[in-house]
Amino acid sequence: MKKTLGIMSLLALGLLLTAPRAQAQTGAPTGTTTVSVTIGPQAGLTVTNSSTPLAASGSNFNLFTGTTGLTYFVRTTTTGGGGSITLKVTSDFSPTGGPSVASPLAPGDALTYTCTVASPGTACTGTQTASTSSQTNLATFGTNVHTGTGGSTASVGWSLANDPNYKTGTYNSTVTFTISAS
Amino acid sequence: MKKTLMVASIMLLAASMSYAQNTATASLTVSVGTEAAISVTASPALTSSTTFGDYTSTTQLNYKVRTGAIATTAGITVEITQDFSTGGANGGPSVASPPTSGDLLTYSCTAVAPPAGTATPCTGSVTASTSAATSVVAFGVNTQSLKVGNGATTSWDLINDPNYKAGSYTAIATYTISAI
Repeated sequence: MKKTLGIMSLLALGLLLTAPRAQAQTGAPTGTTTVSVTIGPQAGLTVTNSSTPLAASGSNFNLFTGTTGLTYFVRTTTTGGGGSITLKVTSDFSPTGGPSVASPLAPGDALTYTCTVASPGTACTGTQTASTSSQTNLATFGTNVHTGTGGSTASVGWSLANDPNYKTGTYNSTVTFTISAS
Repeated sequence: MKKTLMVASIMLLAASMSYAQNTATASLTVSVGTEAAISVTASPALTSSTTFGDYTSTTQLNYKVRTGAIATTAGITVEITQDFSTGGANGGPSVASPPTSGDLLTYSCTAVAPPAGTATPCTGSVTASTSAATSVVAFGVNTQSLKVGNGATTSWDLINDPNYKAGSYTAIATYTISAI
C-alpha cells in the first residue's frame, strides 16, 4: 500500500511538471489573422470663407462680385464610380426689397457663378445661374479618382446684378454645397 | 438563421459604403448702397429755324439712380466746362463773356418719373454757367430708376445775336449725377 501511494505521488508530480510543456506543444510559434478593410467611395468638403461679401467696384451699377473658396476630399469607386459638387441657394437674400434669387425684381437680376476646380474634379463650364429650387453643378468627378490627403481646391466666382431698383441695405443669403461620390 | 442575418448585415454595410455625401454652407452678403450713373444718348447741334431765331437743341440723357432713405441733395447738374469762344464784340457766343449781357445760353428740363421715389426736373428756364453747376433734376429719398435707366432732357436755347461772328462754335456741357 505504501509502495502504491509512493508510485502514485511520483506519477502525480510527473503530470504536474509535464502539463505546461504538453500545452505549449499544441500551438505553433507564430500565428496569423486576416485584417481586411473595405475602402468605399467617400466625399467631404469645407468652405474656406464661409462668409462671402459681394461688392461692386465704382459707382456705375457694376455687378456685385465675390468668391467662395472650397476644399474638397473625394474618392470614387474604381469601376463605374463618379461624383459631383453641387450648390443650391437654401436661403434667399433677405430682407426683401433687394436682390432675390427666387423672385428677382427684373428678369435679368440673376445670381450667377463660374467655377474653378483643381484636379481631379472637372469644373462647370460657362456661367451658371444659381437656384433656390434645384441643385446646380459646380464640379464633376470621374471613375477611380481621389484627392490627396490635403484635399483639392475649388472656388465659385459669384456675380449678382446691380439693379437700381434694389433698396439700399445689406442683404444675406445662404448657399449650401453638396459633394457626393459613388 | 444566425448566418442569414449576418449576410444581410454585410450587404447593408456594403450598400451604405457605395455612396457618400456631405454638405457645407456659405453665406453671401451684399451691401447695396446709393449709386448713380448717367449717359448722354443724343446731343444734336443747336440750330435756328428762323432769321435770328434762337439756336435750340435738346440733349437726351439716360440716368440710373438709387438714393438712400435720408434726404440729401441727390440729383443731376450741368456745367459748361468748355465755352463756345472767348466772346466779346464780333466774336462768337460765349457763356462766360457774352457779347451782350442778354446773350444767354439757357435750358429747360424734363425727367421721366422713376418707378420709385421722385425725379423733379428744373423749373422754368435756367441760365447755364461756366463757374457753377446748375440743377437739371433733383432726386427724392428712396428713388430707384429702372434697371435700363430713365430718360431726362435738357432743351438748350442760345440767343442768336447778329453780333456773333459767322462760324462754328463748340461748347462742352458736363452732366454730373449724384446719389448720397
